[in-house]
Amino acid sequence: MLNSGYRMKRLLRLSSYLLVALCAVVALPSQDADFPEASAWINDLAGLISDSEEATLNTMLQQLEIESGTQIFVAVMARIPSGYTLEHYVNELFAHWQPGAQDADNGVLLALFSEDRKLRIEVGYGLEGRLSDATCQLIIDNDMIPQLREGNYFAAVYAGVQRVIAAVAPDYELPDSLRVSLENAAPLSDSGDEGLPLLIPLLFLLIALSFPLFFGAIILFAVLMGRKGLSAGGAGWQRNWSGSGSSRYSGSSFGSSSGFSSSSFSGGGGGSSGGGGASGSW
Amino acid sequence: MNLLKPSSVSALLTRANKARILAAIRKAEARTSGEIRLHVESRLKGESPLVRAEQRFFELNMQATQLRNGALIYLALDDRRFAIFGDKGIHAKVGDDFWQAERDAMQVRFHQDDIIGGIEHGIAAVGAKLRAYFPVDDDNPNQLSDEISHAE
Repeated sequence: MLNSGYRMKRLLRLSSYLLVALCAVVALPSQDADFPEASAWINDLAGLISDSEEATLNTMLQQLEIESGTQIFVAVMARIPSGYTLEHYVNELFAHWQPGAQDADNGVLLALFSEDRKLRIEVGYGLEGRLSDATCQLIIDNDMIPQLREGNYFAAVYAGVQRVIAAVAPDYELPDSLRVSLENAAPLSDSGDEGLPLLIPLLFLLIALSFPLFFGAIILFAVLMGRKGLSAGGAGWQRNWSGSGSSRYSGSSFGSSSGFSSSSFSGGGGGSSGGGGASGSW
Repeated sequence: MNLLKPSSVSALLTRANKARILAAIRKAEARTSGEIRLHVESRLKGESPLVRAEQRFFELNMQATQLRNGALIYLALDDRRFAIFGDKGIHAKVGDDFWQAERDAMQVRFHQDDIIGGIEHGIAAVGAKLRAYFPVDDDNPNQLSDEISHAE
């Protein structure tokens, strides 16, 4: 993570930019508007998780934090704010929320964007030994995407959080009162949901049956696309859960790049992430 | 897709070529806190190489340097497109002109089919800037691994 001096400088620079913008009476959206405050462990800004479900998750994550010191935040949002890639936005949100103890950097941010159908698990450096990219990938692919495809946002978050806890705090035992059997129904406190409990086992049977198909499709897709999965070094993992197979990149205003002839290059720079570069062809 | 035919990526990243690239990266990263990586894949998916490079940069978590001075050299081999992307710390120092000049210098070598030579040149050029703007004296913790990442 950034050190605090750098962050301070960046803040100062940002605020001076804002001041200039205000003086010029330019209606620039405040950058902070893109980063909501974290109000609890679960921050459901898209309104996809019921209050009782949220309470279950919040209690679970509070318990975990008290007992193990590990802090897990969850963001459920409709869309990635425009101008950001998934990776960039979640990384910045992590920097804003700063899950985990500062010196230990033992926080995790699980962020999902329902309308973009994208999600990412961002892991603090202090936990990377326990929660590797490969593990994140498995959690997303096996535990979360199947639920998300069915629109079960709570089940997806619950399963994802469970697996993250198992990885980062293996000694932590979830109290029975907080155990939710995803096979039987929605959250335990929501027992009176008419009709739904009957549907859910069926749904799970369907999901279970479709697992081999799902992975077959992924492998086939990977072979067809000639891709080799996650390359080294990343701290998070994201997947389209739409299965559309199109680019995961949502586009940004960043830079510009070349055409096909050697004379039509142009450089980029100063885009969404503040980095810069140039591109070309040969 | 013929699975028996080696991909352009694996054809390029032979053991010897990898060793050349890693040596160039280590040399470039000596005496600087900056970090350089290479990502090679076969094709873009409709996006521009620079956009793709930026996306890969964040996927590889390369913004994790304290001074935001990581740089990624990106190649889409079968598309014959490439990009250099630098994080905001290094970009603030070198500006667009530097990226474009090094892009052109790499391109000259790529045109001569000297792909590894072009990559080596880019790594060395970025390394020189990193040493100039982000020098360190002795113990330089490698903040990111030097691995070459690739997707086929």
